[in-house]
Amino acid sequence: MTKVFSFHLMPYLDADIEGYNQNKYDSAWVTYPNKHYDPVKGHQYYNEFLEQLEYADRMGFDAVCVNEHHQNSYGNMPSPNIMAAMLARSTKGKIAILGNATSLHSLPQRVAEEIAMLDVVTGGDRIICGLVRGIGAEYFNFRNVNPNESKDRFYEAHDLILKAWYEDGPIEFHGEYFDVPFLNAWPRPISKQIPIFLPSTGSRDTVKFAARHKYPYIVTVSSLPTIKKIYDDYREQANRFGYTAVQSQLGLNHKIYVAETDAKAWEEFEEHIRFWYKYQINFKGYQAFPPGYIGAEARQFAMEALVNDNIADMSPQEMFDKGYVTVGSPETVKQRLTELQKETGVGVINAFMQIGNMPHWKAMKNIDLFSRYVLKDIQKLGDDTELEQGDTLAGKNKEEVALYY
Amino acid sequence: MFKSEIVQIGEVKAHVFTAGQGEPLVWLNGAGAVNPDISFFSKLAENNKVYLVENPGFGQSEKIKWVKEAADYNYFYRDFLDHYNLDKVNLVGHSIGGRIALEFAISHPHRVENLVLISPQGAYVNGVKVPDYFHGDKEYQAKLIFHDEGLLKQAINIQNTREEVARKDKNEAALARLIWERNYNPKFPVLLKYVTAPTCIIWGKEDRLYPVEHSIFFNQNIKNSILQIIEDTGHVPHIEKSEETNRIVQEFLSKQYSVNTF
Repeated sequence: MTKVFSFHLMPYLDADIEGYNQNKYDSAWVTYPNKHYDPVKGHQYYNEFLEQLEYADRMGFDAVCVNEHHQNSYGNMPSPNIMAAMLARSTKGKIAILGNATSLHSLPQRVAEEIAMLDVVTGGDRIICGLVRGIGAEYFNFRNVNPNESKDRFYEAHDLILKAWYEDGPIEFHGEYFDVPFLNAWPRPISKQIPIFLPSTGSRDTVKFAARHKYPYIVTVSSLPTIKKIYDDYREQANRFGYTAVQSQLGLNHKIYVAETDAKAWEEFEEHIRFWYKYQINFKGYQAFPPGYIGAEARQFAMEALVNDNIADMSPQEMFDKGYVTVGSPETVKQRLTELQKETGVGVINAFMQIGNMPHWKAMKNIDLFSRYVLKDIQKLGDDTELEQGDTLAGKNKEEVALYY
Repeated sequence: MFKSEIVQIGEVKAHVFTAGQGEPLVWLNGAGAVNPDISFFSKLAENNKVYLVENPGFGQSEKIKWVKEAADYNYFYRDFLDHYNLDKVNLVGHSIGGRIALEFAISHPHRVENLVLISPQGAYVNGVKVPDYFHGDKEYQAKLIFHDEGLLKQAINIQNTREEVARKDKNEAALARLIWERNYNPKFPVLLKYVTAPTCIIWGKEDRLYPVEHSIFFNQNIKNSILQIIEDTGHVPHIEKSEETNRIVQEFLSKQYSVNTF
């Protein structure tokens, strides 16, 4: 089966477009002045967004998703765990936190504890724990973590969180970045295994890390050909780690909009996707990839891709054909998602049901029509094999592990 | 005329250019790669044995994994001087190289004959805004470095090859490694008193990266220091005002400044 998650960024729905036209801002990130955040509107937006996720939960989505972002008008969830906590009591299904930006946190213990709290409150098997490094721009905000160390901190925080959850404390944890004499999480999780997901942009070592641990890998933002290459890479890595990857390990972030007809869907949707590209996911290359965040060669490719892939100016047809969005009548959306699932072999579709400055009524309509007329057919696609997560190299010594790198 | 060599210093291979005869002068480069062809260096080599060093992690010098802040280079430069059998040297550093030279002069005062700091990184002056070098594109960065219009235009318009971009990215990552979390040494107001070498501070009056107010901070806190501010000059006086900067350095090293000026 294919799982369909209802994802949300909880963006700020307005932008100072006049200011953008006067070149006042380089992007919605880092330095976009917070005088443009009106907390009264924010109050309304947060509550509408929660209502959207709660509705998606009731309508049968496989999970509702929250995530962490800082200091921008793109995503207003500095703590995804707070939003998850609210949803814990107002929803019945799974809550996917995609994810906590562990590299940016000084205390991965707190992430471990908070996820354990959510797991205990919800009674187990409802929380999915995504781990991310944080978008490059966010390294400019806090200035507490060197982008050169982001990746290694990420791996180390991961190890610490797993030990905090599953090993009897107190234990010592001596890492390069986190040095803890008494790791002793209260509460401990109720779930035997909290599923870990890795949303990422496709860097090879993260793909490898995910494949090694059998963690589902979700490609965050990329073009369809690149996404397919990333999945091929995942499958190839899985083979090297001694198993065959299954579809539930591959996830796709995807923007979906359903209305009565194709024409009406585009009429209702188009301005919001353009708003998203122009005024929300509009960071500059130097913000997306601070020095050392990725290798020099990868940085260059990524910078060029940012320049070349000008999605904001594509025609609706081109956006659709290239797989950036799926928009249309229920029949069109069903057909296209079925094609995409077959073409990519994914088992998780992380559906953005609200995007850009899309108002509440459209997001609710989208969730409603999609879940009534499309969702169940998509959920039937493919097989339902699940693999137990865990380190495929567990028990191997350093020299043996080195052979895989 | 400079000889380029890769030398094993301590645990890494470092890229060093050498030329000239005379008292040893070690140049600690800024965040870019060393360009040994500029006239500033060839003139220095007329009176000194000059060592141009690419700091480990920058240019072609290998990265020292555990180096995370400027003062960590102190051990590399101790090994460097030992490698070349240099007991005491004239130490000249620019920008981040100036910061590294300062840290070395604090911890190894007995190995520094004279210290020359050209727009060194590392000061904090209350109320003086230092722009974030990393938060901008090529044009933004060039404007922080150059005051000279011609050099500025050249830096903005140059079409870099992929290799050049990769090298620049590598150098920027190496710089970020040292100054990302904090762009100054908060202990300098205490530590700078341990600099005992006669020190010459050179600053471009129009430096937009590290404003000229920083030069006064260093001048006030380093006891045997003189300050030379060069008019109409940005962050790279040795490139923008090569002759004048060279003259100041040469005069300083040949003790043409009275001790009383310190």
